[in-house]
Amino acid sequence: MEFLQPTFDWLGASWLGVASREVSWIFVAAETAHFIGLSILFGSLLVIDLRVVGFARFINMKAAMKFIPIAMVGFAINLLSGITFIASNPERYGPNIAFQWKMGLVLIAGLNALWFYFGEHKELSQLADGEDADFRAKVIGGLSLIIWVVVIILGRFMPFVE
Amino acid sequence: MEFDFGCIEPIGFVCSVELSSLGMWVTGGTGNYMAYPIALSAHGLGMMTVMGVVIAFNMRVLGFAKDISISAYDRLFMIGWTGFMLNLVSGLLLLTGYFSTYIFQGSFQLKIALIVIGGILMKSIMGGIRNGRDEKLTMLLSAACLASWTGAVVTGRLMAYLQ
Repeated sequence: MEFLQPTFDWLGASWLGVASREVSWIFVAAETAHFIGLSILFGSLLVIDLRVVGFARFINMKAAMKFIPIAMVGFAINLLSGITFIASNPERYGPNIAFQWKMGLVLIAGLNALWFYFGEHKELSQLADGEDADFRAKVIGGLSLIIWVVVIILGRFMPFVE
Repeated sequence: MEFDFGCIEPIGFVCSVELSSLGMWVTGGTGNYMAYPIALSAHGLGMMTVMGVVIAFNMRVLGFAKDISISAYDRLFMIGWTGFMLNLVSGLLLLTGYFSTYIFQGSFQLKIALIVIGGILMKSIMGGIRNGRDEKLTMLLSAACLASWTGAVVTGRLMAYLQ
């Protein structure tokens, strides 16, 4: 991830980087926010994706879609807290293999979400309670869950592969 | 109050747990350094799953996405229980490895208390919905339940920083 190092260094030199190193509670607060943000994101995805894959097919699909903005709120919390981590120690994250895989998977999850939203969202919203989604939508939903589970595990592994 | 057992020698129950073969296995004392990161990752995954289900369910109780029937959450609870079991097993492993540190730690004690309160509130909310209890009281309990589980996450994170 060498191509991102100048951006990480810029973040490290910014007011956020300075503040997160000098004010002890900022990093701790960002870590806590990162856990809560991921819980909000993952909980929303559980409702949507488990409905799509058919495991919880009696969840009203149209209502489940209301969790999409909630998932985005969770993601935004994670993005901001994640930027704070990098700003606090710009040298630490770029070379970390678990971080690299995590970011790669987050990118794939984002593309998968776009595929879901622009490719399947309209059709899925018409599903009746108990009705199965088509195979392509189930693949997207299943992929989304698997990717985020791996993202969570990789995040926890980061301190151990430095 | 500070407790400094150190666990250099097995002085009583607290240290004997930490220095047991299971405790040593978790902390890498047996030469296996993968147990701790795996237990920690499982704990993180379990926590996200439990919290995810708690958040999604309580948001519904509080009036969000009302078109989802409460009974449709049954399958989600199965996933939530799986996450909870993962948390329980991994949490017990981590506790065994660092027994002398965690057992006297205020943030750990508060975390466990909040999990127990959060669990009781979840059960009470479900019971209230089944028995047709006053909606406002159920919503109040639901907000308290969310606060309790969020508090458990916060105190869990603070365990790494506070004694």
